Amino acid sequence: MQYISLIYEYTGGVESLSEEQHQVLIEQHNRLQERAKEEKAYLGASELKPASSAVSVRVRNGVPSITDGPFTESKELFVGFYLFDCPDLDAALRWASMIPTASNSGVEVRPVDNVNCSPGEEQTRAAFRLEGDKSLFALLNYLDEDLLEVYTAKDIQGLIAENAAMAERARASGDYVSGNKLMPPATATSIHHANNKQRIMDGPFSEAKEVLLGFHIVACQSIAEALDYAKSIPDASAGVVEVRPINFHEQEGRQPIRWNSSASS
Amino acid sequence: MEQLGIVIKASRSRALATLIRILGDFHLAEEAVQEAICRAVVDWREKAIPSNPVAWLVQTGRRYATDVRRHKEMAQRQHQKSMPIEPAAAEYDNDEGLSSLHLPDDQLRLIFTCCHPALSQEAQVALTLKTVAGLSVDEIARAYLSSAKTIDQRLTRAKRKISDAAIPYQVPSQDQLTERLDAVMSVLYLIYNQAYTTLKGEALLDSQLSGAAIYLARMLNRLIRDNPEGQGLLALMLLQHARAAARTDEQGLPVPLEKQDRTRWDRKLIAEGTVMVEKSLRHSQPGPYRIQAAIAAVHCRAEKASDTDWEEVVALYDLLELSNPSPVITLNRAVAVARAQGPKAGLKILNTLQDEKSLAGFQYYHSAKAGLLEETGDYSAALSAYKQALLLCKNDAERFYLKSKVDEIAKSI
Repeated sequence: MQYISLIYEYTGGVESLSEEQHQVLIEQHNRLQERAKEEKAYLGASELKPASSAVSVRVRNGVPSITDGPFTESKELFVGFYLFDCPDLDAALRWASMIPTASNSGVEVRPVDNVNCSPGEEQTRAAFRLEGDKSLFALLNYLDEDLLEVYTAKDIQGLIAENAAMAERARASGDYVSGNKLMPPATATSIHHANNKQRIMDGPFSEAKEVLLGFHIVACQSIAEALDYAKSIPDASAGVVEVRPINFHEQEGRQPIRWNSSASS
Repeated sequence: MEQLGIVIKASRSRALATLIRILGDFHLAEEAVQEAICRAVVDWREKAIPSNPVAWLVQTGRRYATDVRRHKEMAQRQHQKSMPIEPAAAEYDNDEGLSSLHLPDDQLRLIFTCCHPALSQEAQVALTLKTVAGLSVDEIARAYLSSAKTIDQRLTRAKRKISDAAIPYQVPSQDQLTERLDAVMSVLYLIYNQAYTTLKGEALLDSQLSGAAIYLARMLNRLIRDNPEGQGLLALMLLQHARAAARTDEQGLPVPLEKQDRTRWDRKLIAEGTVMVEKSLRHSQPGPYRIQAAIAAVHCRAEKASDTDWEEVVALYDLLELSNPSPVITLNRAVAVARAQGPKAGLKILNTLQDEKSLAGFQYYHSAKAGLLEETGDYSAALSAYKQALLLCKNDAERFYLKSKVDEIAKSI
């Protein structure tokens, strides 16, 4: 089964770190990725740019409204994610507990529901062939928890179909990188950090009413293009889609630092 | 209970544990064990109880589950005619020998899965009571002052999470064992505490839940030997349970430890619990359950309240505070110190807790303080502390006691 580890921070994340601290953090991530690759559990990871770079899209009565900043004022900020391939939850929790953030804020572990648009070989490779002025953007689909309760299976099928249509459109333009539908928040388990100890608990990490249902990654020339894709995601009409650039690291050139093609090899 | 009922009750959770492993499906396994029990009632009454009832239930349940799966497959095949037809699932049918059933391991797997930290604690409790202890949904609902529907939903949700998130059906690896064992023990203790604090419910219900907790603790100790904390937990339950009959009076009002009729304590349970505590304490560095059990043993040893060795109780609380520092434990230590060295010494410790936010809304902090203040003769301070406790009190019987204290002191000032 594939699991996603959603990384949350209470602080400003990378922004608040010194250059040295940042370097230590990157090394920790690199080590974790090496180990996970060795054990064939690694599918990929992405670090998002700080929440201050986020733009949120809501479509109400057919009219899109775009606001600066992340979709919610909750104190937990979503900063990135890992994808692992594991036989069971205990194995996924073991990997997640090695993510440095698990030792100061927290990580949520949720099974990935791959029915929609899992990262295919071609799409993942595209992440390494970013041409021209393209940058990577994550489109994060959030929905109000209460709405999720009242949705029927048919409603959800509709959402999936519309998401797939958006993915298809982006793919046709050569902009689509990957996407994943997550299992419902009821399947989530979180690692919380308190009193210098990691604690495993039932449920999503964030206390916000809006829950993450899935995400798409697109490669676009500008955020305006990414927003255009975001608008056509049905979740923007019922909930909100947050658009967030994915981080690059200069020393590695034009590569998203924590994105690896081993998912396909 | 007739022999048949006893055998079925004793075999149910073992058969279920093994069926879950074989079938890999919590829900189907529960259905299968239920069906097997229905057939057992008829078959065993007619013939005889088989020499290995658990194996009988497992095999009958497995055949039933195979049928269910075959029917489902058939229905699916008719639904999607283009699918290639696969041979019948033979793997479910080859009868394993009893030696390969690994029954004790399966029971452990079941306990660890039910108490997995990825499930909410209330789900862990409900699941453990239902699948391991064999309580019905109605029984669980009554014990937790909840509706059967709520408990049922909780169980369904938990089982769905086990399957959706792939919570493994296994005994945790060595590096996780200690932590996971702690989680299991805290669930069992939570169950026992629920029984212990249910003052209102019928006595029968009370003893059923504490009975389940003790049954589970015994099972855990049988499955994991040489686990001193587990022995401590069982001893703690036994020693607390030994005093159950004396804990309330004829009207159902709580009787404090000092005023209990000690002839009503269960000597047999005390003997068992005491031996167990002594045995468990032979290992170094006792944890919280063993220390609390040792404290309970000191109380049980005293024939009269005045015989209590309070110095030893204080020493044990010192130890407990060292290993598990918490304001509530300091509060208990203060009360013990007051008994050993007088109310002033106790109050001195209580004063260090003054700014403790977690105790501000804790009724027992205020009532303990009130009691000690009253003993020192500081009636006006005692009165305000009793009033504070009364304000926080949610239990009718205790409110009655606190109210009478407030009235009594108000009159004497």
